[in-house]
Amino acid sequence: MYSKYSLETLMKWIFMSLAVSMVALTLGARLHQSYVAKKNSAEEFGRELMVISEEREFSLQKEIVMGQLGPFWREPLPGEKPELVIKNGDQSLGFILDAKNIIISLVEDERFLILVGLLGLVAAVELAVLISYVLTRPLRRLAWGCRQIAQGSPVTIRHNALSPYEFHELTDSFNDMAKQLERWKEVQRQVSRMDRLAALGEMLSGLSHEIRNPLASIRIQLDLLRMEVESIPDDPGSSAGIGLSDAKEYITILDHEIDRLNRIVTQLLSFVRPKQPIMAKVRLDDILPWCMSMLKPQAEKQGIELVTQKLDSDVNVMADNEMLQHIIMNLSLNAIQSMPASGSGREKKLSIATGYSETDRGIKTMGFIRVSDTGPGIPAEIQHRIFDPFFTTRQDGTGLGLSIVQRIVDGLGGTLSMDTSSRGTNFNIFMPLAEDGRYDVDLNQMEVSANEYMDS
Amino acid sequence: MSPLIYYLLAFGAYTFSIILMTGQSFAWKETTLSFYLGGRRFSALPTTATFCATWMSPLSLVGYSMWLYSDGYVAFLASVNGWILGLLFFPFIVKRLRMKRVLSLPEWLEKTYGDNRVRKLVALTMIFLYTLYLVIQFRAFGIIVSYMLDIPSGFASTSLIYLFVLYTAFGGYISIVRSDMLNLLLIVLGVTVAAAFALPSGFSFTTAADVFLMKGQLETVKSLSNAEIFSAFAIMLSWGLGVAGNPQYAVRILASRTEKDAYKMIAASPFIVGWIYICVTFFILVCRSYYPAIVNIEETLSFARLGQYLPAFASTFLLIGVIAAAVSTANSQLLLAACSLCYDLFPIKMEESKKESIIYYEDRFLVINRIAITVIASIALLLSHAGLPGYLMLGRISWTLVAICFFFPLFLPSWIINDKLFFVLSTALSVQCFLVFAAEISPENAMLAVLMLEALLFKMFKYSILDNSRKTQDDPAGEEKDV
Repeated sequence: MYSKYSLETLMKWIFMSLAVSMVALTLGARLHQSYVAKKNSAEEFGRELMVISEEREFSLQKEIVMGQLGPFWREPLPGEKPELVIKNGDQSLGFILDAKNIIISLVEDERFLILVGLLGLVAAVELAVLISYVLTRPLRRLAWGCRQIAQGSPVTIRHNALSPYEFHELTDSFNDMAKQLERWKEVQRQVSRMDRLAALGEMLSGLSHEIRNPLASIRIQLDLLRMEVESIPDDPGSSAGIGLSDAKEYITILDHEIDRLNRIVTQLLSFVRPKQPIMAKVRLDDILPWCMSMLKPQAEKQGIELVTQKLDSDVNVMADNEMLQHIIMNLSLNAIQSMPASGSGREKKLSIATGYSETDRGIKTMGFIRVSDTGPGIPAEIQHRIFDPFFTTRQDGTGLGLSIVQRIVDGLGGTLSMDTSSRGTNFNIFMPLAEDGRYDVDLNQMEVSANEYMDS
Repeated sequence: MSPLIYYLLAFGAYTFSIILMTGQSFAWKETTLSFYLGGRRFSALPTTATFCATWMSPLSLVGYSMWLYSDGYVAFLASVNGWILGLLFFPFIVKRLRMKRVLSLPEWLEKTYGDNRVRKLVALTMIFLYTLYLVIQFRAFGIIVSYMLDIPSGFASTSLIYLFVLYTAFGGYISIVRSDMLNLLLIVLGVTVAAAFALPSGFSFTTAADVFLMKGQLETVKSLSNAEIFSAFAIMLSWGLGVAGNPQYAVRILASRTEKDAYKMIAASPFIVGWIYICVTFFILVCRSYYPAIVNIEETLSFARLGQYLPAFASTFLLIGVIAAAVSTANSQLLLAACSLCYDLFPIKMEESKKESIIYYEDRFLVINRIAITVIASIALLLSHAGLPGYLMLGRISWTLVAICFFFPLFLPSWIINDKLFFVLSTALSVQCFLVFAAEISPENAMLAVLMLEALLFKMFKYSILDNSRKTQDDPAGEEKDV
């Protein structure tokens, strides 16, 4: 259960208690000192008057004697024993010290000090408020940061220049923790994806075999049927049942559909068991003309400008040429499909660029291929799913294109990255270079990694 | 016992109470809404308390009292009548104000009439008039404290209110409401005790009635010349309209938890305010009849000296009541002036791209507000030692400016032409300043002329628009014909 009081209240009480104690001590000492001084002075004066009265034997009116004594002496009440006896003619006048009047006089004399005490009290409390502000604001931000993390949002707390260094340490630690949590979440996402992919691969592998065998049988039977139908002489006069030409057309449709099914199964199998890459030195410069020749008709048909850019010359990477072409083709077709057919009013452009680059993997130079489009970008909420198999936003898509691309890139020992905004999307494929004596080493490493990948 | 001891004890107790009752200055969950309007979560009772406590400034207590003491009932007719008249306007604006869900009155003007310039102009006027008005509170507090504690009336005594006001205003509306509950209690207690112990022979209803109906008192009204009656009427009107349009009260309507609470506050406050005025009036009429000798000294000091005719404890309550009135009005005005400066005049916009860091934005914004509070309070503190005119004059300048700024936009929205409002208000304010400061016409007479000018301008623009639209309807091809 939380306590009800805040740090500010606590600080106020502490500071106020301190201030009150200080004021009470200082003021108490001062008042006591003054009280004693006033009392002593009054007693001294009383004694002097008493001595004078005894020596001179004067006889005065009582009021005059009291006036001479001053405001700190009064007549004793019945039953009170006089502290001072003054001989006045043939009678004795008794007097007693008036503590109340001494105190009133004290307060009047020390009112400035009392006021300063009150001012100090208010100032102390305001100081407490300021100190608690300096302490609570960083805590408030940290609490807000914790809530953000609990809600699953990434957060970085900014430093406050006014805060003491302990809070800077705390803020740094919090930010490190938040970063680690983000990384951990990413790792968890990857692990979960790998698990799903492994299970999926196993299932698809079996399923593809099961489909492919009857499919081969259907294909054989269909070929036999076609031969049978083609051997029947054409009889244009016949009107009973379906005509021969209709039967041929149906067989053609069936043939196409079986081909399509076969392609899907092949795609599934290539996803589950990609073929072993044949790693060799690939010159990225040579890929660009191939891209142009393969993609231009499709791009022109969609009204898209196709641009190829050679940012650096003679970039040689270690890869499987055929697979690299497969990747570029897949990404480019995706890009073409992502750009709206018409009506958006924005420029439609597909760019394929090659060159050298750096990656965050720590390897200084790598070759890269960038496929960029000017489409509407990928919404933030689905960005983390686009490489998942069977995830697609198109009605006719299989959702395997990008996941196959990623598998191939991983298998080739490269990396794939994506950045997207409302102005378009870039896919960057980074491949290890095959140059400067690193060829053999890299080749071996790539083969090992490719084999490991195949085994898994 | 010496009155000084009473005063010291009472002042010390007040200091402790303010410290303990005001609550937190930097609340853990504070937002701009909670700082300016207490998160709109106060029910009718605390809202009524802060409404009445803010109402009772040293101008209402001391200024009115000393005017009544010197001129008799005419003061009641011109000031209290005017203030209560202003109160009658509030029910008409509750719905209108609350509909927009705004944080300040200048923002309401912008949202209602769609002109940011109007918001800035009005905010600037508010900063000016509240700084001026704060001087009254600071000065009254300084004089009362110097009288009570027998210290020289100067920077030391005045700086006490500076600390009090900063302390209460730092916590925003919430801490102001909390401290105002204490302040109202002290004001009511002070004037009630003063009225109860004013008569030397002891209080009785028949004697009280005699005091109210004493021949000398009534003759002060009967003997007024026509010019004096007009002048009293003009002051009544200016203060009435000033109260009606005063953002201090409008903010309390905005800050009420519900519309019903706002109506309750408006319904309950006349009783409390009325009771305070009855008590003050009675006390001053008694002093006027029995102790007419206090003349030709500063008004707050005169008021404090009238307290010497009361028993020491009653005089203590009365003077603490004046201190409470000064603190309660000052902190509220300070918050409004800071709001006008930071929220309306120079608003800090949050970058769209950094919306996620609202906590940083609000923290920074509220710290800037507190800096503004300190700066405005410091300026008022310095001005309180400058040779500005007396309370009544400062009050009249402030109230008339409020009436000119807010009366038409708040109460006659159908008269307003949105794109002309800025022109009309800036013209009206300029003319008022010229008439008061350059031509030295009394603020309320100038205000009557300026209000008429405003009305004339609004009507003129209205008719010109109607005329144009009629012409366009009658002759849609007029332009071509001209060609």
